[in-house]
Amino acid sequence: MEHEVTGLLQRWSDGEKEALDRLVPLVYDELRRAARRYMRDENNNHTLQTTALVNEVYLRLVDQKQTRWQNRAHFFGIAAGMMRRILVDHARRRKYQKRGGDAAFVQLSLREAEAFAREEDLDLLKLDEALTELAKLDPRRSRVVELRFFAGLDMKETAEALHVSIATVLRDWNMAKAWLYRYMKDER
Amino acid sequence: MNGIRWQQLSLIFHDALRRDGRARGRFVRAACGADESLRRQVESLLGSYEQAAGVFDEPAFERAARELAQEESAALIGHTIGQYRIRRLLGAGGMGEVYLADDGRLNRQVAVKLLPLHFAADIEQVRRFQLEARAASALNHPNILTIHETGEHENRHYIVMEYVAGATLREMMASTADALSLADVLDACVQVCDALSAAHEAGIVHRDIKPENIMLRPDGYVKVLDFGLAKLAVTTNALTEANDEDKTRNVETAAGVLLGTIRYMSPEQVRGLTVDERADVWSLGVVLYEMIENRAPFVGATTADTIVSILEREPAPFTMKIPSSLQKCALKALDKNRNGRFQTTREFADELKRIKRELGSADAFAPRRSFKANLSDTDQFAREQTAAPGELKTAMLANASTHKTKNALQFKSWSAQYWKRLVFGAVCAATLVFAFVKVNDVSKPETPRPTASASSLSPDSAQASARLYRNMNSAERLAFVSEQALRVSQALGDGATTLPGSAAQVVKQHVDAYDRRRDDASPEAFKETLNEIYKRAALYAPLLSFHFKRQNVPALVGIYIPMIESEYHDCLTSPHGAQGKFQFMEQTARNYGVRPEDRCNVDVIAPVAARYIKDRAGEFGTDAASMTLVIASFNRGNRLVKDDLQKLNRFLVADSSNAKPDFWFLLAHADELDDQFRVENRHYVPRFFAAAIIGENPQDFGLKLQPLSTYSN
Repeated sequence: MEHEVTGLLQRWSDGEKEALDRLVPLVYDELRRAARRYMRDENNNHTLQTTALVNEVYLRLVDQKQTRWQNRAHFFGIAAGMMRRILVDHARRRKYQKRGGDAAFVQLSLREAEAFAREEDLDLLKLDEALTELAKLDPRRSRVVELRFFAGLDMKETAEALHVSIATVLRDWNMAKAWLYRYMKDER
Repeated sequence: MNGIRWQQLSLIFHDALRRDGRARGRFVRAACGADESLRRQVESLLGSYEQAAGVFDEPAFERAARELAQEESAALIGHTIGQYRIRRLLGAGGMGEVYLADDGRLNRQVAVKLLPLHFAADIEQVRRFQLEARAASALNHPNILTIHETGEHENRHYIVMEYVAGATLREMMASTADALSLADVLDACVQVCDALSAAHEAGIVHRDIKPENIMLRPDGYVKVLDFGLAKLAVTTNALTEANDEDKTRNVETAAGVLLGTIRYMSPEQVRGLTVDERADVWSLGVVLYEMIENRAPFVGATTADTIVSILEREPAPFTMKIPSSLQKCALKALDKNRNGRFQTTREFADELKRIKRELGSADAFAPRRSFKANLSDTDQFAREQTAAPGELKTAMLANASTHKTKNALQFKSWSAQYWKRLVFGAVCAATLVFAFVKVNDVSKPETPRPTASASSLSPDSAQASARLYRNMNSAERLAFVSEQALRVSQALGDGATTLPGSAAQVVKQHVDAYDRRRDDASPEAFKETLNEIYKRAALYAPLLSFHFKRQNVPALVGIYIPMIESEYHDCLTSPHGAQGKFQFMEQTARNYGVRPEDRCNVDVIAPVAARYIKDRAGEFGTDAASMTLVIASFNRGNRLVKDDLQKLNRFLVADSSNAKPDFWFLLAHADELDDQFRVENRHYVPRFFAAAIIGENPQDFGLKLQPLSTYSN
């Protein structure tokens, strides 16, 4: 499977659109499995270790002997867009499921519930649309959001992936958040 | 918007962000000059920026993963497989998921393991696995996990096994698990040897001995799992030259298997040669080494490096102070040449038992780190303290007299040297309180309720406490924790006379986990040594005690909640946006009239935290039992805790003892509550107790501090 993913990623980054369609279910399955393992590990007591999780998916899926990926950052430069697609698909799927009225869905602690209430306001589908608009104005800022928000990279990793300074990433991130938030709010 | 305009906008936006309040407004107006529309753009973006704070903090990936995981485990829950009703997921790994289930026919709990789908591909292989698993189980050995049944459900093979309430050795060795004493380690290994010997004599080699496959029951019994399962997985890799198993089938798990268990593989397994019982001797040798050293003997950055290490390198010398006979024993099991190893697990066990006898009583070998180092630290500390100025004796006497409360608790025994610490503590407390009063010009705090008084926790016996917690064996630890947990409970409010035995067990796990951290030195949050954290805590203890007592809330609550929330980091921010020592969410802070940016200011947040707790105590009660619910609600939320109580109401009615419900009651019925409780909330109160037990008995953990609550006097 790892060769398959590597090949598809390469074909996709070379501009072959259909490659992504085949990639998404593969990665999605792996993500599911990884998530399940991590959720069962009660020693991860507070939150899911996103970076560790993404890293594991990366390790499992990608043939590292392939010299095309110079490093993790480079890989994510390519893979963040895929993550965005997977997560937006996931949100879409979930949106329909949720209308089924599954009350037992999640029960969170007070503080998490507060965080969640905010998240709920953040509609991934809407964000996807906003991000596409942002890309028209400012492609780099849109990439920063993909890397930070969809692939869970930290400032330093994002900077590496984009070959810019951390200060630039921080500035881009601040501006992008404000712009996206405003866009989504106005749309509602 | 054109490119130049966008550039302009972003430049002004970034510069404006560096300014606050009115300066920001002035800057924007000046920068935009007469360009009204630009100014409006900048201002609306700045407004959105404020509102967007926190919205993007949790990566979408994390949220999706959480949602996925919940969906996954929920899918099977409540369904039946054969006669087994699935209750909840116990664990998952490369070899499938294990669920807790009720056996409808025999009215017992069982563990059901669902093998990954691809294992079904080769019927012959599955059949061989089943034969072997049953054969091992048929030995009826107390240290071999019993297999009740194997079967197939919707194309997935499953194994129904004896349910063992306990933890795997991996879990025990991980951060929140029990710290094993050397006696425990030897004991566990002997039991694994016994299980393996029985299997070997029946012609079964385990092939996959690793900490994940060894379970420890709370009563000390060891169970070896997954006999025969290794045959199902492809335990081979690119370097393997010859192997009778099909390499191509399990590519997907191969990565996991290799990453996970290659460390325990013998050189002959790595080479793909035929394997006999001496491979199990090797693997157990690796486990033994890892239990002693807390790190695996053969590791590398990549799979290939690990393989090289297994084939070529000698394990790093032991750093733990253990007898040379045990070192030799472990290294003998790790001989690259299998002819040089113990030839049977019986031989291995005999040697382990001999070492145990040689070492005699637990005291002789319990110290795993150099005990001398601890002693010399103490001496040095004593020397420092004797240098304290003489006039402070008054402070010492004043302090000591407050300990003589009518409360007849006999807390920890103290030796003369602790008097010196008492002086030190009194000086610290006096200085800090003085400084605090001076700066804040506050009025005197109200007299606290006696039960809430920290002094009730203070020592008044004069016996020496000679042993560090880490040098105690399991039973002694449990007794210690049990006694101290009760004291913590009593300090939380009235009515604490007993705690369920299970509470001590659970709390002990967390005390053990904290205690282990004395060895790890890393500056990262939640990885520092215990000493670092508690030293930091001591600085804040007087302030927190003051504010909490003022609200009539036990000081202990104020001192130890930050310990478990933030480990007293100044301005820790969680991925959910909680911030500061008490990890307040932005909205909660606002609800209590605190600006979000003040959450890191302990002077501001401490009284607010005290009020928050007092408000919860108003809902639940102020007695000791209710206070555990109050603490739980700090993590779980008061609404959910109330829901929990309602859900468990029938158990309360059934319980004729009429005891007030407490956190331990929730924990006892955790199966009835949600996943969030089982995954996160269940750890909160035990961790609080553990933090308090350590903080109130610092000398037992080698911390050069006073009990934290005494800094408040």
